[in-house]
Amino acid sequence: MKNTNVELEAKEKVSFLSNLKREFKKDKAGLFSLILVSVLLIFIFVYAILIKTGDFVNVNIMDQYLTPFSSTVNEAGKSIFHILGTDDGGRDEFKLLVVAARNSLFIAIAYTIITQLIGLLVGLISAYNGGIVDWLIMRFIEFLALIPTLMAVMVFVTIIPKYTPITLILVFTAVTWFANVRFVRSNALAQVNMDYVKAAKLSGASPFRIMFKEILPNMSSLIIADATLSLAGNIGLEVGLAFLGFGLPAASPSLGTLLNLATDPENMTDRLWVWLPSAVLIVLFTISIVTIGQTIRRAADQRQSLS
Amino acid sequence: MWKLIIKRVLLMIPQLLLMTLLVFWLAKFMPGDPFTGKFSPQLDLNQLREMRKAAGLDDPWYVQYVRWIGNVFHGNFGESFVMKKDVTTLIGQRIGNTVMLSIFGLILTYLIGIPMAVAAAKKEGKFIDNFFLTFTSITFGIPAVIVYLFLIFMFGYMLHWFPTTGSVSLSAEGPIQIFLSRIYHVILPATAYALLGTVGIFNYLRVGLLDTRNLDFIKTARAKGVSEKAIFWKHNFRNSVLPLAQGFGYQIVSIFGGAVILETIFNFPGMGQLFTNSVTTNDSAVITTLILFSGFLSLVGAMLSDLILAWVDPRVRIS
Repeated sequence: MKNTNVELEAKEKVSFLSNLKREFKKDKAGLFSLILVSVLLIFIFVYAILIKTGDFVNVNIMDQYLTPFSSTVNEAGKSIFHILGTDDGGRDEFKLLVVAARNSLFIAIAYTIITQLIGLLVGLISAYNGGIVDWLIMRFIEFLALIPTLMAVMVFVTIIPKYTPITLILVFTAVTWFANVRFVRSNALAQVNMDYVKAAKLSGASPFRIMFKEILPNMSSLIIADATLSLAGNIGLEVGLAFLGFGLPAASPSLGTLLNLATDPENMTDRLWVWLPSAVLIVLFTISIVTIGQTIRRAADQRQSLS
Repeated sequence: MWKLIIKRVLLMIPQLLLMTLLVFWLAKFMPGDPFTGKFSPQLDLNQLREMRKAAGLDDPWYVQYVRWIGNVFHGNFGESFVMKKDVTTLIGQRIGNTVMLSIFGLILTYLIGIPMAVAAAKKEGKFIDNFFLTFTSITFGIPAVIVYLFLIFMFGYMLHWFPTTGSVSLSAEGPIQIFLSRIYHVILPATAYALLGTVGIFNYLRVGLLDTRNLDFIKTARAKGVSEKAIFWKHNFRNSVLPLAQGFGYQIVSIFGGAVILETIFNFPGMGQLFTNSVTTNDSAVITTLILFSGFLSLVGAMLSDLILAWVDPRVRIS
């Protein structure tokens, strides 16, 4: 019994992976997005390590609002080239952009992983146990869903006196942890009455084992697709909040805070370089991630497959 | 039907009470109280303490909660200590703007979304279908902020077609001019709202139309010799619009709630912008009222959606 289970799992994984490969080969937009996102992610996270905090915190008023492709001379007499110009504090816009993207993406990715894991746990428990447990969990979530998310996050951010990327992730999680419980639950409900689950129960497998080793692998591909799609939405959530001024503190730039510079009419029309690059980066990331997510979903649900 | 309505209304009461508790608890954590704004060199700390005590801020939390709930049921939501006005007055000044924006936005959403879905479903797999699918996956992915900024940049600053801030021009005189000016100010934000709102309608309706197309009752109609046009509009379309009706309950109530990001970016004096301003100034009375109001609206929305679904779909009503 155990052996056949392992074999079945292995087969399922292999087939999803090979479907995925075939789908990405067929879907050029998906493949292009995948390469673009990977390259950008690696570049941003590696380059951000090399940037010193002073580079995006120190203000040098003499170099304010330099146009792109201009260069300045620093105290050591070395000339610095500003490929994207400088902002109101004379900070290099390119370095600022990289650090901002790192912060925004870190928050969005970590938050997506945490909510997905919570959703998996609660959704599986709810679907597997059914009955009163399921009823209670679902009524509780129905109630939580009534609370306006954006408003609640904004209030939490003002209540907490000192916040870092970690607290921000925790606030997001506290307000929206239930977002994908229903999705996991409805997918798991389709599985719980299947024969393989009954067989596992008969063979004396623990509920935990059945939930995570038997049911989960059978719906993992759909979960991965859903997580990818929700990552795009979560980048949007962070950007929107930071834009309104309820994101990271001023010392840690975010794509949203850079975008907020556009609210100054002068920046909007005459100094495009202070906000447009962050807008372009956000658009690139969100659209590519949605494209990747759709490709994964097609691979997960073979009825939609292009190949 | 009446039984269902009564059941849903009764179900609302405990949820509403739980919500008030939650909001009350949140308000307790917010910095500042109604006397923060009254602090001045003429007033010494002891006097302030006396005032706080007289207002009952030193009572145990449940006493405060019961008093607050009593006030809320009497329509008294307290006073904004930043703007020195009743919260009800503040909301009264803004809700008209928000309602106008939302109604225009909603009408545009359906005007754009339904024809898009019908066109895409009729030409499944053709250019127009792929075009709309790509378009909606882009608007689904891009954060709302970016879309709003782009529209302001393009139509406000570059082309100067529409105003980028406010809800009415200060130079407008007389009711007709003011009304026209208000519509003029609402067009751009309403279009922005609609562009992002079409995704849901488009996907639901398109998939619905495609799924229903091969069901037995359509085949029966075709076998009976009903014209293709009548099959599409009278049978397929009518059936596929049902899921949209369910979302309608939420949308009716969302008319009053206001969109926080939309109104803030367009500097549109509605409920959403009021909320952003109040959070920035820590105006707790306004914040709690708006959250409570918004939660109440989604509660009513959920109820309306269930009732609408039961009304249009007899299967739900009977079970």
